[in-house]
Amino acid sequence: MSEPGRLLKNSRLEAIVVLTLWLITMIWTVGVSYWLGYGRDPSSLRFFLGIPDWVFFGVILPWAFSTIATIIFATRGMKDDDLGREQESGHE
Amino acid sequence: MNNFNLTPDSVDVIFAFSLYLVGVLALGVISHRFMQRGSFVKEYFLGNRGLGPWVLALTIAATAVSGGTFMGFPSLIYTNGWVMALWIASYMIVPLTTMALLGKRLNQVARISGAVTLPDVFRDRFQSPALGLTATIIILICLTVNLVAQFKAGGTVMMVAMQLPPVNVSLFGLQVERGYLIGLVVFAATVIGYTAYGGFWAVTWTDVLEGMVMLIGVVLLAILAIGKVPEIDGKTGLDAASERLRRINPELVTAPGPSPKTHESAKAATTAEPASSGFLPLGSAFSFFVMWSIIGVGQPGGMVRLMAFKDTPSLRRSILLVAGYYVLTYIGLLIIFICARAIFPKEYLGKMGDESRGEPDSIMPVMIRYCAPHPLIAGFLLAAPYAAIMSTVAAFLLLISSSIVRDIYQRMIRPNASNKTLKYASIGVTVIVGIVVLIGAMNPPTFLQYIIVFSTSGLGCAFAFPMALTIFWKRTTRSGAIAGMLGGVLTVFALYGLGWIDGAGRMRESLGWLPGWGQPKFSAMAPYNLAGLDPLVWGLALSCGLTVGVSLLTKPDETQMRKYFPPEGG
Repeated sequence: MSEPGRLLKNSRLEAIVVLTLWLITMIWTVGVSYWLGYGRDPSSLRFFLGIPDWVFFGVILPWAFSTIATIIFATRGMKDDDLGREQESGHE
Repeated sequence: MNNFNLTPDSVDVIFAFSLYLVGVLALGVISHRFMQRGSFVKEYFLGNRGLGPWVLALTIAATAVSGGTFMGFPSLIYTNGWVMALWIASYMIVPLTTMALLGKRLNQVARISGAVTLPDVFRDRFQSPALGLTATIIILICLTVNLVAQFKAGGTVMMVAMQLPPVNVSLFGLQVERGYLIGLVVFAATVIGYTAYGGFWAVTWTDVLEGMVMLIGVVLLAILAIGKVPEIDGKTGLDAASERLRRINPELVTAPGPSPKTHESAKAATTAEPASSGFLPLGSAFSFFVMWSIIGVGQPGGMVRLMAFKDTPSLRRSILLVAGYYVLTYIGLLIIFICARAIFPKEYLGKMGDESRGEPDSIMPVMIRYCAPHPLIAGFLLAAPYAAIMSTVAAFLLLISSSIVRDIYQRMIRPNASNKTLKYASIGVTVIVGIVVLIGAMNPPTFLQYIIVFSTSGLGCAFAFPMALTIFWKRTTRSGAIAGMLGGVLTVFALYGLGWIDGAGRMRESLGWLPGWGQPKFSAMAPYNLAGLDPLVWGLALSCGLTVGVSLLTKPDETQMRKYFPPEGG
């Protein structure tokens, strides 16, 4: 397989992984916040370190999840590819 | 020009502030020397594709974090409370969507074609000057509008930092507030100076300094703010702040946040009808998740930086750095301004609605002045929002001048222009664009936040899908890309236009059949949200649909397809 072809194949796969992670975090964040936070009776709220429970489960927790996912993606998931040489015959 | 006396505090503040400005200018001068021989245009506008991980990370983060983040966002947290955590939440995934999604492949495509600017990529991939010019014009319009708003924010921070007694001066027949004018000119001179003189390297190196100043500023201010919240029922810190918010208005700790009528900015609402929902109804929560994570993909400032990194390990490391940066910045800002609301329960609310200059966004400098234990620290902290604005302005200035010099002059008028000519043209155009925007900001527009969101949405809807499809889907055609670009940006323009017509209370009868027409809004400048969704969602959907649909109806250019999409089996 040619080197430029490999980059294309890898980057397409990586794009699919990123979009999947986007979908998971979107559904988690908007869904859980809607479920726990919208129209919530304020007297039933619990606070963790001053953070309302719905923010903790709907924003802080998925943020922690995405941070871990980002670390795994950037250290192990994403492949190193040769970016190719500059086209010097262009318009320089 | 009497009454120029500064308080001793202000002298200290200005001293700390000046140190920062000197640092920024010094970096600009050094980077000018760093510029190598060879292609001037590629060096000046793209740093010769040599960005390593740290510079790439900080330049992407510092460009994305703008005047809106440090002025508009804080005032929204102060006004609406904890629901703003959901408003900003998609920054959790932004490092992946804006860097990992397109980065590697975009960099490769730019190398194959020798592209220096974003319009270059479109133009070369489809061999279509018309497509390149369309992209250039969209960038010019959206970024110039955005720049005026950023300049205003820059002038305002400086004005607050100096705390001069308000005096109006007359300039070319305009009445301008003196402190604002001085702030604006100092701001403009610094940023135009280093950008024009040092080009891309100056912009990215100062981004590193500015990015660090912002980060340290936010973290330090968050720690100071938590300590300043008055105790309540034995609770301290953030716990006390949330408890105080709950007592001020329970809507501040739940979603969807306060409704327009429950805070005093209801003045800006168009009717006295009770509002049907709070600040962030479900449709808006979804819209803003898309806003930062997907609209961010289509920002020219970010994409140009993705064309400039050196190798893939640099990209991977900088994704990690950016992720850490956003956690600290955004969680830090949330904490600071939740505390601000607890400390000042309503002192700065009354001013929120009227959107007159400097007032809706004054909570950031106010908190800094209140929390800083010494004026020198206040000066350093005030440099943080200033740095945020400056780094964004520098990036946009350079993008605008690259559009004029590279995309229009070099590629359409004089392809054989010498390096020397291009050098003087680039520096000259950067200075002229800066001065034009400076004059625009002398009599500044109001509604800072809406202008920034409007132009950012326009760019994102124009470029996110057409670019992603151009580089990943070989069946994309030039007609498809043009249709997608124009469809996206025009949808955003149209829905904002409708919102302004509605906000002005016009055409109530003839357009009354539109769902939600004439409903109370947070501001007369707010867009028309069709079916409760922000214009950007419609713009993105239409842009994607048009790019794919029109591409399938037209024939792709086989030669270009082979050039950019090598056979995988070979």
